[in-house]
This record gives sequence, structure tokens and C-alpha cells, in this order.
Amino acid sequence: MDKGPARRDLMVTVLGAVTFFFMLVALLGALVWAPKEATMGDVQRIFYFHMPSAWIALGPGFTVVFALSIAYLATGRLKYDRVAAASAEIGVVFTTITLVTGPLWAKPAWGVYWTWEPRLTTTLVLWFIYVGYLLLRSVAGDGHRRARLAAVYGIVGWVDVPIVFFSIWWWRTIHPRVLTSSGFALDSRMTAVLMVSLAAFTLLYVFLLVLRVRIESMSATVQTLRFRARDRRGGGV
Amino acid sequence: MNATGYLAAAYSIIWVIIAAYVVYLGRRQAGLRRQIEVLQIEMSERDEPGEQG
Amino acid sequence: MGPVNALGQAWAITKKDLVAELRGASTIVSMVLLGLLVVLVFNFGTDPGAKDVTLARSGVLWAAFLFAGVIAVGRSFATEKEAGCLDGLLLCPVDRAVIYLGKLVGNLILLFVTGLVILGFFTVLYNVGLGAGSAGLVLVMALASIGFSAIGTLFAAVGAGVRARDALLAVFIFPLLVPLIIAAAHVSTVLLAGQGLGGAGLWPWFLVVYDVIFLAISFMTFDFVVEE
Repeated sequence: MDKGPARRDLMVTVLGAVTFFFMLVALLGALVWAPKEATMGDVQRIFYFHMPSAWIALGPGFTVVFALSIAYLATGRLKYDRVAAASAEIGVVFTTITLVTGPLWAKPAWGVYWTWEPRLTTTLVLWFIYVGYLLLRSVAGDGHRRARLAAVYGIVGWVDVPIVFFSIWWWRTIHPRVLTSSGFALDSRMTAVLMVSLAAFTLLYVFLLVLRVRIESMSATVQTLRFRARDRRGGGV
Repeated sequence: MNATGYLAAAYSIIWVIIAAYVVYLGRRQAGLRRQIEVLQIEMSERDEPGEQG
Repeated sequence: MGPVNALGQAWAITKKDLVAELRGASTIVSMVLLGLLVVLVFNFGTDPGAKDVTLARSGVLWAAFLFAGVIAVGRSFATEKEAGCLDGLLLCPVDRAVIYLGKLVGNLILLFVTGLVILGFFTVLYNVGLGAGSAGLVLVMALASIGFSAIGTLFAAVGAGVRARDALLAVFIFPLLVPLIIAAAHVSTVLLAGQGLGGAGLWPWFLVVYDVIFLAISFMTFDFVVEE
């Protein structure tokens, strides 16, 4: 038991170091090694961090919330709820990065900060859903009550997102815009950098998740200890 | 702001956001650790027989 | 318990709520007034001369609908929680799904009626000649009301548990309703422009599918929300 926490800390630190390393490699790849894009120039390099950010936010981030919400409702184990909460918070971070870098890329590349393009718009809706999830958790108290309500929201939200994407996409084929944010051709070096960046962001997600889940557990421990302390104070003489 | 400016801004913001979040996590963890220590000390004091007060 | 019996119980819940509603009438009155006001206020933001009903215009219709709807569903569990009736309701040997259905239909009726009033006001203000489109518009309003009520009732129960105010409720449900609004706005634009439902393509079916999906999910998850 004594060795446990120390070893865990070590592993987390190693994970952190590896993550940092990958992020640096990805950064170098994106800014230096990747070829300059023909039409958009250097601004296109934002893509290498923008896209993986979006994938993590929409993919593992949100799906973990969904899957663990179901797992919690099925089993009643709070551990699932804790990881779901952590994943949601990290999801907000990644979604925010996506929504900030998107317009910063769009403006110089296509002349406008925003287009009601399905992916970007869906990401915006996703942001609201994530934030709503966290907001719900903040007013729902704690423990099982909070877990139940959050789980329901996590499930409904996840089902909704693909529908949102589809409806926007379909709507836009009817109301076409002159500007589409479709991109550019990816050559092999670009793909390589993108893959490294995706790996880096996945590691980052996992690393942050581990840290954040630990905080949730510690928070729960504090609650339990407080309860016990109160009990004793009340019961003892 | 020219194109490179946007590029610099985008990457800077990404790193700032990530760094800020990691720092935030670190501080929360430290705070919680302190709280746990305090509470555990409190608990062990109460366990001790013949305590004063 | 047979299905007919369950429906009867659900209807009893609906009736109870609606009767309480009509007695005070404050909810439906504020819903209608708010909806009409939204249409009025938004009008000042759009070109007064334009005669045709653009997508922006019919978007106003649905914004009004959304705000009115949040009031309705926000109330559907609020009075219970205040009076402590929710526990009483739960003590009845009634399936949770029946409670959900009862609340759902209550919200649905309130919202549908309000929606029709708003729609009527809207067509008058914008001098829209309806004719063949009116049946279609009623249909869209019905489908939108179903979808809204499905999600709204579920989250009203969630909100009741956490004392969420209307604004918070809106924050929870508006993002989820985006597809509904897109579809409803599109179909209503087509109809208000004088084309029949045929001009709206498959979008009415989209609304149907959306309603089915979220009715199903809400039914399935409602139990978890209401357990104590």
C-alpha cells in the first residue's frame, strides 16, 4: 500500500513527460517540417493542432462521457461518474481550443471568422452541451444524485450531436454558401504530422484525464472525511 | 494582422489554454491534498484516548 | 397493468395538471404573451418593407416558440416540487413512464395551443396568405411541440431536482433542440412562401424521426431522473 501511491505518481509523471515530448515533436512538425500549403500558406499550419483538438473533443472526450454515463446508470458505481465528469471538463478545454483556432484559421484563409459550416457549428453546439453538463453538475449537489442527473444529460447529449451535424449538413446543401471550409489536399508529409499531432493530443487527453480523475477521487475522499468528522463531533462526548 | 500573426496567435493560445488548465489542475490537487491532511489529522486526534477537550 | 389502464392513468395526470393550469391560467397566459412579444420585438430588427417571408423571419417564429416552451415545461414539475407533491405522485403504484407520459401530454397541449396562437399572430403581422399551407403549418407545429415536450419534460424533471430556473433549463435544452429548430424553420419557410408540404422534401419526416428518437430516449431515462 505504501508503494502504491508513489508508483502511481511516477507513472503519471512519466506519462506527462511523454505527452510533453510528443506535443513538442508535433509542434515542430507542424511549424517547421510540414510543407507550406499552396493556396493558404503558413496559416494552414493551424490545422495540425486544430483538427486533432476537434477529434478528441468530439470523439473520445464526449463518447467517454456517454459510455460511462450508461455504465454508471447500469451499475451504480460512482467511479464511472467521476471519469465522465473529468472527461467532460477536458472536453470543454479541447472544444474551446477548436473553436478559437478555427476562426483564427478561417479569417486569413477564407476571409471570414465564421461560416455556418456543419463541423464548426456542431462543435459550437457541442461546446454548449458540454458546458451545460458541467453546469448541471455544479448545481446538482453531489454523489449519486448528481451522477444520475448528469448521466441522463450525457446520454441525451451524445445522441443529439450526430443529429445536429446531419441536420446542419443537410440544411446547408439546400442553402449553399459561397464559402465552404473544405480544404486542401494532404500530401504524405502533412499526413505524417497530422498523425503525430493526433497521437500527441490523445496522450494529452489521457494525461489530463488521469490528473482530473484523481482530483475527483480526492474530492470524494474529502467529503467522506468531513462526514465522518461531523459524525464523531456530533456523536462523541 | 497578417497571416503569420494569426498562426502565432493560434498556437500561443493553444499553449496558454493547455498550460493554464494544467496549472489549475495542479493547484486544485494541492489544495485537496492539504484538506485531506488536515482532516486526517483531525480524525486521528479524535481517536486518541484521554485527549484534552 | 394493461396498456389501456396505463394510458388512463397518464391521462389522469395530464388532466390534473391542465385543470390546475387553466384555473390559474398564469402559465399559458405568460407563454402566449411572451411568444407574441418576441415576434413583435424581432420585427423591429428586420426590414419593414419586405413582403416575402424569409428564413430569418420564420426563425423568429421558432424563437418565440422556444421561449414560450421553456416556461411551460419549467412549470410542469415546479408546482409539484414546491408543494411536495412529487413524492406523493411517486408513492402511487404508478409506473414512472406513466408519470412521464402524463406530464408530456400536458406540456404538449399547452405548447401546441400556444404555438398555434403565435403562428396566427405571425401570419397576420406578416400578411401571409395561407390557404393550403395552413394544414402543413399546424402539422409542423404539432411535430415541433412533440419534440420539444419530449426533451423539455425530461429536463424539467432534472431541473426540478436541482431547483433550476427557466434560464438554466433553457441552457440545457436549447442545444439539444437545434435539429428540431432547423427542420421546423425550414419547413415553415417553405410553407409560408406558398409552396405545399411537397416543397419541403423529406424535412417533415426528419421531424418525425427526431421526435421518435427523443421520445424513446426520454422514456427510457426518465426513471433515473425521478428516483430518489
